[in-house]
Amino acid sequence: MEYKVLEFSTVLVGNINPRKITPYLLAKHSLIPDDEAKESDIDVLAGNLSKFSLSDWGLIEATKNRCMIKTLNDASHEVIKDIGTGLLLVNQEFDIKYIGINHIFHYELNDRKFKEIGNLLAPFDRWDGILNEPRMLNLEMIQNKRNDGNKGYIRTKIYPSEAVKQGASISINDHFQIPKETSGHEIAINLFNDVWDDSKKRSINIANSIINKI
Amino acid sequence: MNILVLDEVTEDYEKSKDKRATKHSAEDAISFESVDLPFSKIRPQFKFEEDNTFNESIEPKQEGKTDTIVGSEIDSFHITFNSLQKWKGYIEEIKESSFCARLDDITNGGTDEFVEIDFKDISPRDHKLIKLGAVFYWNIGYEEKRGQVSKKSIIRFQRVVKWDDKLLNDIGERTNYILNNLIIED
Repeated sequence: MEYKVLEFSTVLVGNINPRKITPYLLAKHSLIPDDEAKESDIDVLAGNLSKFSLSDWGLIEATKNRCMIKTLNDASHEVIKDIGTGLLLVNQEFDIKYIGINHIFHYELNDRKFKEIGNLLAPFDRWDGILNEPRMLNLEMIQNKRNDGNKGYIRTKIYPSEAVKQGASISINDHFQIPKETSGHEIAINLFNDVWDDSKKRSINIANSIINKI
Repeated sequence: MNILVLDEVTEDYEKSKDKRATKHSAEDAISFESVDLPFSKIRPQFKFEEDNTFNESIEPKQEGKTDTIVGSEIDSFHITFNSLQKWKGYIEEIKESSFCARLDDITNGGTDEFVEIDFKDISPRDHKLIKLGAVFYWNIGYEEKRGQVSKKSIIRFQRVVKWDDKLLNDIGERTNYILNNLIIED
């Protein structure tokens, strides 16, 4: 089954200065075209919060300890990596502790099929005598140890979609923890380049493995 | 809305984040959750200066009117694009009205492919990026815009940081710091 919408984002967690993340500064550092900066739709630009959309492809939100770059446009997948890497390059003072690379696959799935996948993943008969007509609403699973040599985990959630009517979402959070004894800044830049493509392939494989059960 | 009000909004936002932080572990900070946040829509006002830089100021789009972010923000995009095929391209030769590039197939892998692309297929804003060795992303897929589906080919050039003196100095200082603090064990 093909997904209907792929929502993709990366999240940097650490010491961040939201004042350094604005459409103007992204354009100034050549990370986005000037006209995209001029056409950006700004929700908030204030001391501790920066939040704006770029054309129709991206949303950026930054606070003192978190920066998220998000898109629903698969053609912008690599652009997000370039912006994330660029932000870290030009802001040497940012100290990054965690990186999240997140994929949310939204599928059109009617009620019967969502119930079916719920029964497969969390068998309803185990709830006999506990709940009447049990249904799965949200399911979250975690792989606590990564097998790519990095610290962190992979977390997968399944829940009703907010993006697709009568749909289900499979969210894969590829979480990387920057080792404490190292410079988060440089490790983060290297991580972006090393794990980016693999993260997407792994997320597609996980989502397909789940959805193909029905 | 003035800056004072924006600061209040920011403070509320930070408080709401703090509340969440008490309920979840630090790792949970990485999430897609949106916080209900009242704010006024504002648009940037850019003014290009003579030295080709431009300044930014913020003005309220509609004074006094507030919007609220609730739940998923997907609706705010209106457009989704799903790729059928993705390539990463590297320009190897530039001709009078076209360029030749090597393509790395991101979707299926395999051997490199070669292609010649007319300048007219590139967005005018990216023309200045057409140089030997430049990298671009080529996506073919389906775009859905407010319910209307269309097949599209999108070429977008990679944009990397402009290396100015300040950035080079910052990196130089950081490199020196690391070198000076490097401990080599026997």
